[in-house]
Amino acid sequence: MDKDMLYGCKSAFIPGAHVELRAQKNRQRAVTLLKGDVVHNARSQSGGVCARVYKDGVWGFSSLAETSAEAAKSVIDAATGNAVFLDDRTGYGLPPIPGAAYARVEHFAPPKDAPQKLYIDFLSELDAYIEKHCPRLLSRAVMAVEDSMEKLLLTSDGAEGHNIIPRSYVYLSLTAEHESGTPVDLTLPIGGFGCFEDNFASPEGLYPQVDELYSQLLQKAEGVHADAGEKLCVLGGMMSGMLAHEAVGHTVEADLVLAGSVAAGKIGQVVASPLVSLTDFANTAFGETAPLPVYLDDEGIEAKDAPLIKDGVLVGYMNNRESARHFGMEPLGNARAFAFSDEPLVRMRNTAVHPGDSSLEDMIASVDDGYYLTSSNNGQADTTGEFMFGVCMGYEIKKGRLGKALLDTTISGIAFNMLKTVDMVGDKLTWVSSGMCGKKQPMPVGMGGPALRCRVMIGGR
Amino acid sequence: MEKLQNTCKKALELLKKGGADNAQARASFVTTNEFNVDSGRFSLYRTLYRSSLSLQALIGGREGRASAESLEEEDVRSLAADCLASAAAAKPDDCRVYAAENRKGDFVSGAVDCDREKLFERSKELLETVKTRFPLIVMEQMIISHDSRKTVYADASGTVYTRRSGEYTVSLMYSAHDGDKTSSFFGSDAVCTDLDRPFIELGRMEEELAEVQRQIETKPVEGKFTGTVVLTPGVFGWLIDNAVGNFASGGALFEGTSPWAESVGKRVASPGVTLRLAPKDGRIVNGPVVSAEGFLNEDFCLIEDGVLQGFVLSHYYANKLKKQPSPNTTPCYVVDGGGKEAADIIKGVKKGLLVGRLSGGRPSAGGEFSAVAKNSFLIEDGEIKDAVSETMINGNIRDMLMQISAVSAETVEDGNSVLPFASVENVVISGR
Repeated sequence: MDKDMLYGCKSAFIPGAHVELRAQKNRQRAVTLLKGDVVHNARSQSGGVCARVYKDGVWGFSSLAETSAEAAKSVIDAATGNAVFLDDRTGYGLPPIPGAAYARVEHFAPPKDAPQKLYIDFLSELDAYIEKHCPRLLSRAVMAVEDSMEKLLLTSDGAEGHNIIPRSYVYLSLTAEHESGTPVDLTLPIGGFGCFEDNFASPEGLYPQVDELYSQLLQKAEGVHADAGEKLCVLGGMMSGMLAHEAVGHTVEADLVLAGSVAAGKIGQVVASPLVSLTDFANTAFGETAPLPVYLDDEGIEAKDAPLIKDGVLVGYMNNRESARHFGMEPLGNARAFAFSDEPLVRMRNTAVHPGDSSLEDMIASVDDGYYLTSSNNGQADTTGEFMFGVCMGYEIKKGRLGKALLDTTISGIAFNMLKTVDMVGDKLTWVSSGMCGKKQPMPVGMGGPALRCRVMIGGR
Repeated sequence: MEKLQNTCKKALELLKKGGADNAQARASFVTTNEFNVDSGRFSLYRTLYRSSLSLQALIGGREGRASAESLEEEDVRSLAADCLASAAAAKPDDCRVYAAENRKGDFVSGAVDCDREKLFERSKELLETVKTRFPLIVMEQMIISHDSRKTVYADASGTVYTRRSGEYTVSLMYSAHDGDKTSSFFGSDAVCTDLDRPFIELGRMEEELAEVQRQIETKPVEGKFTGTVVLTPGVFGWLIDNAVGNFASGGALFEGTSPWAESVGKRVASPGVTLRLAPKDGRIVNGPVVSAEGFLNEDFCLIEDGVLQGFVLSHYYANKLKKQPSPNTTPCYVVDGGGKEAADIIKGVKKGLLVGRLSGGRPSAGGEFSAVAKNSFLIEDGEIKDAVSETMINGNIRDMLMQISAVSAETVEDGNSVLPFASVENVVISGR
């Protein structure tokens, strides 16, 4: 994208108004093989320019599927007109949007673009390995996806940025038959930040994960239903990452706090065990680059970590500029938009429970009768903090040892109650970044955590 | 429309010249006007101008797809080359077919033009109505929009379908609050083609707002029991959508995971359950006209009086499975109403739940699921009692269809589907 073209449009900004101008390109490559057949083979991209203008408490926004100086000027005019239209009819008369420190941030490297043949050949070889080495499957699917989001940003108070987040994954999805005759399945995403060629040198590199997933599926094919009720559980790192994102993260997004989430008015209060700390990391976590690093948000705020829970005490929210003003907090770069036609919303980036000092082995050994839950296929929570996660892989724990695998089940609870029951925190952090968070717009996010020992409601028969 | 037609024509020429045996092009312009309310006040007005071009090509049974926003000639050339390269890289599969019928059609539906002033007035009226009549409701987000669409579908055989369509969409996300106490959030959605009625009258919006106001105080269900669940139309739609996807879809049949594979002509639901996939039904707003393979969609009955009539198959999966393709594969569900009003169905429940939302894991391929009953009430001796929290229901959606004891006489039409309430017997309900 042409930086000079966009930056040259600053003269079209209305003097005195807060204006954001963004050019953006999203790209996706995807291939799916189902039982060896190519059932999906697609390349897509979308791009254009958008402007957002603030006037006396309301925003105007407009986007156009073109990236040119003419298009940029056109959306600035339209967004200004929209702000005026809404202001004329509401008359809120709120003060100007707070300014921000000058930020000029560039984290851009041109993304590689592998041809579709590379994805298809890679998956065909991987699929052939699965077909040969996993004889008890009812069905199998392999999928490769690469997506990237490139943004150029210019704001009226001086922020300039050029950033890109590419990520790529291979999904393995295996289905076998339970002894009762019903199908059971498991899916494993593998990958993370970077283009496909950066992350996947050869299919052979994934064979150990295929073998492990197949082994787990065969255990699940002999699995049992969980016993419904409140149980002592060890949640694996993937599950605690989902807890960090779904059950706590959403309730401390400032727009949801303003709408009355359970976290409203709880800053400074104990909401979890003193063993629990939780942060929304911007771009670096525990000395390493976070799964999906964000350096500048779409309001032009340079991204910094947002501490949310420290030693069990709620210490912060995630904000955009407006909500930060409302709560008297510093905006830390959480305003993000998914597509060129989307306005920034308060979003998470890389949200994780901090690791503790217990080994997973000790945690399992400490449970007399409970469950070890390792994988989830989805999760939801609401503003009360009541959450639900689908559990697609887990085990019984009997007298400190792992027992039979579990059939699909669900866990639920109320986050700020459940987190107070955490009495052991694992020493290893697991990150997941393959999913999309849904909130008006989708958004790639990272979530992570260590194993947690806690009490939680589990569904069953 | 002329630019869209010319773009499709140009793209098809490029694809044919590049070796495509058959090809499709879809081009569109969409203009969106959207008002947003956040935390109870108007926050944003958006106007979006979007275009798109999607190409599909078959070369010797190899399929490639490519899509982009730009309709500029240079970009169309690049996209066509991308599509052809993708097709060349794919494996041949003789089951791939596109329509090649050399037909013409012009379709117009819905509210093509946006009445911006009236749209804002209806939005403001809804916000004020909620504040006045449902004072405990906090409107977390309200999105009210109008889409105006021009689309062209064309294929290599000469078929050209044009369509002008538009609709108004109302989407609310809210919860109820009283001091420190709060209900679960709930979403109400509806689509309509005019602004003649206040938005509060669409779908079940009014009832849903009233129910959420009564969900501030909740109690967990005690223990575990087997009871009756009465599903609101939205939750019944979830059940149907998962059953269609897991049991009747081409993907499930091809994977070999569908328990309905040999069930055509057999009972798969209780008598009284009749389900149609009906994009042309007048109560469905702007149902899809053309399938992904270029065939014109027609309505059909999937389940009649509990008996499975066929499957939901594209031509691709029909060829794979050596079965007949279905007349459409859209999620435009229309379920016939039954004999009793929902209130009378509830009066007949000894113990169970009125379920307003399920927050749960995706049902497994075999239909097993467990989910938290959100925005739900306990029913005892025919009466709706307390709202519940921390209460789960467990079961199998295949079994649940067979355990339906009644569907309500009244159906809810929200523009996306037509659905009644449904009561399901012998469901495991567990509390703390």
